[in-house]
Parts: sequence; C-alpha cells; structure tokens
Amino acid sequence: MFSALPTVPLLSLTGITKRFGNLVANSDVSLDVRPGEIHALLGENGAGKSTLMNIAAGYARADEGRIEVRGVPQEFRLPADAIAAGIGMVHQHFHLVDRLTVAENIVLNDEPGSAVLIDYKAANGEVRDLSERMGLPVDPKALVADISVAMQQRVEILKTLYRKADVLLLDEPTAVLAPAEVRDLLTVIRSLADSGVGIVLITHKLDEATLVADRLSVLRSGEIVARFDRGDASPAELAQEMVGREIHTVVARPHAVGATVLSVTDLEVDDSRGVPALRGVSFEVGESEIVGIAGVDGNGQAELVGVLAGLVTPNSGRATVAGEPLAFEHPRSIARQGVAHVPADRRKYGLVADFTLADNFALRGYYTAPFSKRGFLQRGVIDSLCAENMAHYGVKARGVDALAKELSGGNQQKLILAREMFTSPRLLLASQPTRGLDVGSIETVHGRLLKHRDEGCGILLVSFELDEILALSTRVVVLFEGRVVLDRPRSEVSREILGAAMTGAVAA
Amino acid sequence: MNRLQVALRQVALLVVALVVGGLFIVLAGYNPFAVYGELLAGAGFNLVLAIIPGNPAGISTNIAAGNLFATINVWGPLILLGLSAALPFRAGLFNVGSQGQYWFGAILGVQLGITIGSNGGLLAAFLGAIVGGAVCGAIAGALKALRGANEVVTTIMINWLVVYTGHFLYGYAGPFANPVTQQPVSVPFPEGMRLPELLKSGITLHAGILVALVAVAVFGVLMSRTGFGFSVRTLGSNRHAAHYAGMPTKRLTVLVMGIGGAFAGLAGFVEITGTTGQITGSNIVGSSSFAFAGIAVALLGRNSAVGVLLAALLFAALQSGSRFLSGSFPPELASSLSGVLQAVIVFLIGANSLFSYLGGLNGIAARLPIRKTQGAVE
Ligand SMILES: Nc1ncnc2c1ncn2[C@@H]1O[C@H](COP(=O)(O)OP(=O)(O)OP(=O)(O)O)[C@@H](O)[C@H]1O
Ligand SMILES: [Mg+2]
Repeated sequence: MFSALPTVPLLSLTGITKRFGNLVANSDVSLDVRPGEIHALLGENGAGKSTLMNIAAGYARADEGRIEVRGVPQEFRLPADAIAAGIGMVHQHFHLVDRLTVAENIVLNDEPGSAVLIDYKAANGEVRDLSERMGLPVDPKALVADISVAMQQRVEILKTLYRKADVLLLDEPTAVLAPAEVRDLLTVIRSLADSGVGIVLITHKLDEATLVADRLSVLRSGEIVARFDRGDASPAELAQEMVGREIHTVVARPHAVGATVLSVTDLEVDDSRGVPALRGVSFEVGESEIVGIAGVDGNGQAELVGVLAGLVTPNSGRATVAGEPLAFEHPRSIARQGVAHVPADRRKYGLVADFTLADNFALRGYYTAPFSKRGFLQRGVIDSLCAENMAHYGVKARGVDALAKELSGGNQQKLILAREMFTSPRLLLASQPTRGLDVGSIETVHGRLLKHRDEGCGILLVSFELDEILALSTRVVVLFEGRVVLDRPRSEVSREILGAAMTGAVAA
Repeated sequence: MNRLQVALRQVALLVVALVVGGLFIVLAGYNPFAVYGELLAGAGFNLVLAIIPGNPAGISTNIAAGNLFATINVWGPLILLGLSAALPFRAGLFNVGSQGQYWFGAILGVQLGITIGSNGGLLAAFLGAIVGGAVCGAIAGALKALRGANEVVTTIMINWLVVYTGHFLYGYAGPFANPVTQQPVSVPFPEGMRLPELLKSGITLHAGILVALVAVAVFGVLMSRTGFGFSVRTLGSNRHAAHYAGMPTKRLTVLVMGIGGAFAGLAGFVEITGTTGQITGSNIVGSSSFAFAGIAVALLGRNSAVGVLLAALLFAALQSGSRFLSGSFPPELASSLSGVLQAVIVFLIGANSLFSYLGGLNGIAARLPIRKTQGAVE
C-alpha cells in the first residue's frame, strides 16, 4: 500500500542549524516525513533530537534552514502556527494542566461552544468519540492529576489529533511506558500512519525503532550521520552509529550479599486519593545486593519508594536501615541514615530547573561539609566536585554554571545519578534510573550501579524494563495491587515467570 | 538571560515609567524636563554639579547637601521595606504585611525604649522593633506552614489588626497617647536617645542609613553565600525539590516571613527614632502605601541586594525631591507623581511577565489578526 507514496513530504526540514551560544545543537540537519510513514530519529543524549523537533513544532526558531509543509515554505513563530499547519508535538515532558479534566486539556484553546461559554457536554462527547476512533481510550471526565503517565500521554496525543494534526512529532513517548503499554502505543502509531499521518518517533530503544520505523535517521553531535530504510540496520549497528563505538550490554557478575541494609515489614500506604496502594509489603535488601522491583506501573511502586524516601506518609508498618528505624517523613534524616534517592519524576523532584548544575549538585548536601562550612557555601569546592562527578557519569554540558533546564533530558538524569551516588550511600532507591538514557549511557550507568553494589551498597531498583531488572538484580520482587506476589533470587526467575506474576497470576 | 541583560531590562522599565510619568506631567500642563530636573535638584542630586571646579551652575552646597540628607533619611526605611518584600519573594512568598510589621515593630520598640530610658533605651527600641516585626511576619508564615493559609490574605489581615490597634493606642485618650499634651501622639522619643547624627546641613543626616546598609549587606551575604539562602532560593524555585532534598520547608516559611517582618520593623525603628521622633495615630492609619512601596522596590530591584539599594534610592529621591518642588509644579501634584511612577513600575513588571508569557514581540505579532497569507513570497 506504500507503492503510491506521494513524492511531496508532509513535513520537510532542510539545512536546519541551531546554536545556543557556542554550542551547535543542530548543524545543517535535513529530515522529512511522508504521509503514512514512521520516521525514527535516533541519537545520543544531547545529540539535538528534541531541539530539532522543537523547531519543527514552532517552540524554537532555527538560526538557519527551511521548514516546508506539503512543499509550502513556513515560518513558525509560535507553536500555534505549527498546529495550524497540521504539526503536533508530544514532548519528552508533558504540558498538561493537572487540575483540569482530560477533556478540558484536550480541547483547551480550541473549545466547542460559543466564544464565552464552553460546551462541556459536547467536549466530553467529542473527546470520547475521538479516543475510541483512534484506539486511545481515556476517561474524558477524569482529572489529569489522577491518571497514570501512560494515560497522560494518550491525552497529549489526542490533543494533537483533536487539532487535526497530520504530522505527529513524538519525543521519547515510550520512555515513560511499561512494556505492554509500549506495545499498545506502537500499534496505535502504526495504525495512525496507515491512515495517512506522518510520524517522527524519537526513542532510545533501538529494538523498538527497528521494529516499527519505515526509515531511521541518526543524529550525532547535531549532525545526521546515517540514514537507513526499514530492515537495513540492526539495533547493534544503530547503536554503533549513535555513539561511534560498540556497545556491550552489562552483565552482572554475582556478588556475595552481606548483612541486611533495608528491612521493610507490613508496610501499608494510601495513594494521593486515599486508595490503599501498599497492603502489607515486606522484603529485605542486603549489602551488595540489588533488589529489582518489577510490576506494571501503578501497583504501588511509586508509593513504596515515596515512603522509603520520606516523601509519603505510611499508614502502618516498619522499616529499618542497618537496624535503625527509618526516619519516616524526614527526607534529610533518611539521607543521613545513608539512603540516596533517584526519583522517577526528575523535573518535579530531582532538579531545580533554574539553578546551575553546581547548585543542583549541592541540592542535597549544601548544608554540611564539604559543601558548607559554618553555614557558608564553599563555592569552589562545589564547582570542582560537580565537574568531577559530572565527568564520572558523562554529563554533557557547557560547564558547571549552565542551568539545569538547558541540559538534554538524558543529561539531567545523569546529573541526578552523579549527585545521589556522590555520598556513597549504603542504600540507593533508584526509580527508573536509566529512563531517557541512550544505550551508551545505560551501559555507563549500569556499570556504575554494579560498581557501587560491589563496594557494599544495597540497591532497590524500580524499573519497568524487564531487561534491566533481569540484567542487574540479585533478587526480584514483583508488586501487584500493592502486594508482594513474588520474591525470589534472580537465578530462579525468567521473563515468563515475571510476566505471569505481574498480571497477578500468582506464582507463589 | 545574563545579568547584564536583566539589568538593562530593569533600566528600560524605569525609562518607560519615567516617560509615562512625563506624560502625566504634560497632561497636567507642565514641562516634564523642568519637573524632573527640579525633582533631582530637590533630592539633592545637584550636589554633584557643585563639585565641578568653579561651580558654574551656582549650586548652593548647603541647601543641596541638606536635600541629599533628607533623601538619604528616606532611603534607609525604603531599603528596609524593600528587603521585607524581597526576602519572602525569593522563597516564593508574597509579603503584603510590611505595614503591620513596620508599625508593630515601631510600637514595641518605641514603648520599650521609652520605658527603659536613657540607659540602653535605643538598643531596646532596636531589638523591640526587630522582634515586633518578626512576630507579625512569623505568624503569617506559621499559618501558611501549618494550616496552608495564603500569606497574602493573612498578612493583610494582620495589617488591619495592627493599624486599628495602633490607632486606638495612640488615639485621643488612648492608653499610649501623650498624657501631658492630650494629643493623639506618643510621648516624644527622648532627644538623647535618638539615632545618632552623622552630618548636618540644615537637615540632619541620621544613622538610619547605616542600619539599612548593614541590613542589605546581611541580606546579600545570606542569599548568595549561605546554606540558608540556598534553601530559600530552592524553596522559591521548586518547592517539591526543596522537600525532596530534605529542606525544612515549614521552618523556612516561618523564618523567611519572620525575617522579612523584622526588616519592616527596623524600617519603623529608623523612621521613628531617626526622623519623626514620635508615633502619630493618624500616621498609622494613613500608611497603607508602605507595603506597596516595599513591593515596588523589591520588584524593580529584582529581589537582589544591589537592586534593592538602587530601586530604593530612586523612590527615595522621588519622594523627597517632590517635597521641595515649587514654582513650576504644584506640590500637591508632585507628591502624587512618585505614586504614579511606583504604580507604573509595578504595572510594567506585571505586564513584562505577561509579555514573556506571550512569547515576546514575535509572539505578540504572531497573535495579531493580520496574517501573511500562507506561502506568500517574502
Ligand atoms: N535552551 C537551551 N539553552 C542552552 N542549551 C540548550 C538549550 N536547549 C538544549 N540545549 C543544548 O542543546 C543540545 C541538544 O539538546 P537536546 O535536548 O536537543 O538533546 P536530545 O537529543 O533531545 O537529548 P536527550 O536524548 O537527552 O533528550 C544539548 O547539549 C543541550 O544542552
Ligand atoms: Mg530530548
């Protein structure tokens, strides 16, 4: 059915160059999307993928280059101009209004009804119709604050479709999804493409890209370094093109587990709506042990980490760190007990966007040595420690005085990891530690986590990536509906057993 | 934006405000250049001209110096009021309670000073003013931290509480009113206990400005060099991250409002023990512009130490310069000019945020209904 592809692309970018000061984020980049095709855009963290898409969607302006839609030159001064031309973007970090409903978010700025009064009934109806037609079911009346990340993403996609976009720019849509959700999303994307929409898909998951994309382009340091058609490149070859070297998946060598670091007993917690999220959870993490928490999102993982990090109040239950009771509700005391935390939501908790990288590095320890002396910040020490630790984790930035918001998504994540590991914690709570990282960075981070494990750190690893759980864990725990339904050594589980446990078919 | 750009933008704001102010002057039928010139002269800024060898402008150094002293005497309290808004702003809190904090500080300080008398009375007044202002601010902070009460609402409520209590205390036959003269004012703060004089040229320059300069230095060091300032900035930029990082967010809220209140209380101390020498009941009621002035100073100064210094100097010059206007511009109009300029600046800063929200000039142009037809050749 693609034999009759029209020659005029829906969207074509030609010779795009974008500079931020001395940094060239895009250098003479050309890229196009034809109707009915999925074009994968790959590249390392900081390669310039988001920047390019922001330009195509009117969020940023190129210094040089042309944008054409169906062969007509465009000048996008605002996202609204791009939307009017049929281009919709779903960002790496969503732009939804928490306190509005799903339907309100979707019709926002384009509401049915008169100029003054919004016809809510029509809005809900339209949104329900659209979502069913597109195979993206949502509850129009639910508040965005109350729905899962996967649902929020559907809302973002529906928002663009509601505005009749026929080019969809998706910036790492699968990074935040669990495997089953990824499959659903890819199916939806395929069927959208089949209906004539052109799609640009940014992803770091190369198997996904080779599976679904018709064409693939690879960006490295702002330049296109390779282009492939479907079937012409394997994930390994793509990885090689992206980072310019061969990638080895890290394999965890077994390590003797030491004394218990974290012990959790009968933990019960409600979620933000007061619904029980953890119903009597017990497990242990030992020194030099990585306990992988697997499970579909929304089965209590977020609440578990939240309680252990001091951000969520438990209803009942106990937890001890190295034999001492965990200081519930006191993040700083918990940190003093030797617990570090890589939060799942890096933009909300992990970073202060308007602070420099150095200040973000000092975020946790600013009040004490070596960051402070007698209450006074030691700027020189902070800067040099920050630079040193950024290098360990390969954070790419123009310097320690760059602002956190200038970093690419993956580099923000690496900065958080560098900060949290700096204290050599005895327990690390790592929530989706490699979310949004490129294959090369994942290799680095996995290597780092294993090194800390070998040095005695106990790690609670929450990940929706089964591969990651299986590659790193010493033990695997599966949460289902707030209960531990499986807790076994890594050697005694397989992908199948985990899959069954995650759907509640208790393997005992 | 880098620092220079930010500074330039603030200067541009100021220029626009002065132009708008100039239009008001024109509307009133006067020459704006003459009026601004006289304002500057009235504020004593013409003293620089007197330094030119031979004094070609024929400036009377005595009068100019006196005018400058008057300006500086106003500058001190304005710096302190600016700080009382700036510190909470840095933590993402809006302190509209400078008026109440100022008067509660002043009342506590003055009564304490008078009671203790010549031996340590000034120090007692100083400490009393700090405590009084801090308590007023901290109450609003505590209500926010513990009950989630909006600090804008609570600080305004506390303002009214203090203002009418003060009005009663110093009103006719009020408990603190001067029992000898039967006037609705406090007993004069004893001459020997006033803020020390620094210089005199017709008008006395008192040590209030030193108090303010020390306060501004403390604020600057606190914000940029200490862990406390770091946590305040974090709270103001991303309170979720502050919580995650283990910062004592509730304690910080109380502390920041308390210190902000203390600055306002100090402003009251400086004004009463330096300039007016007594508390007047009707002044308490007629002081609703205090909080506004502080907020305008903080906004124009972008909540930074140096910014607050400069912005406060500007407003001080307007206020004090207009007192000496005569001839070319009637004083009644002159006194409202400084109000107009403050209002324009606050408005412009609000509009400026709206401006960046709309995407700058380009964004606004793109929103206008005049559109290039698609694909038209440029
Ligand atoms: N507003 C900005 N100011 C300064 N530099 C920026 C800004 N936005 C992006 N950059 C820089 O441009 C480069 C490209 O960033 P971009 O976000 O496009 O990367 P990316 O390919 O999307 O990476 P990731 O996979 O990590 O999301 C990075 O080095 C980044 O630091
Ligand atoms: Mg990106």
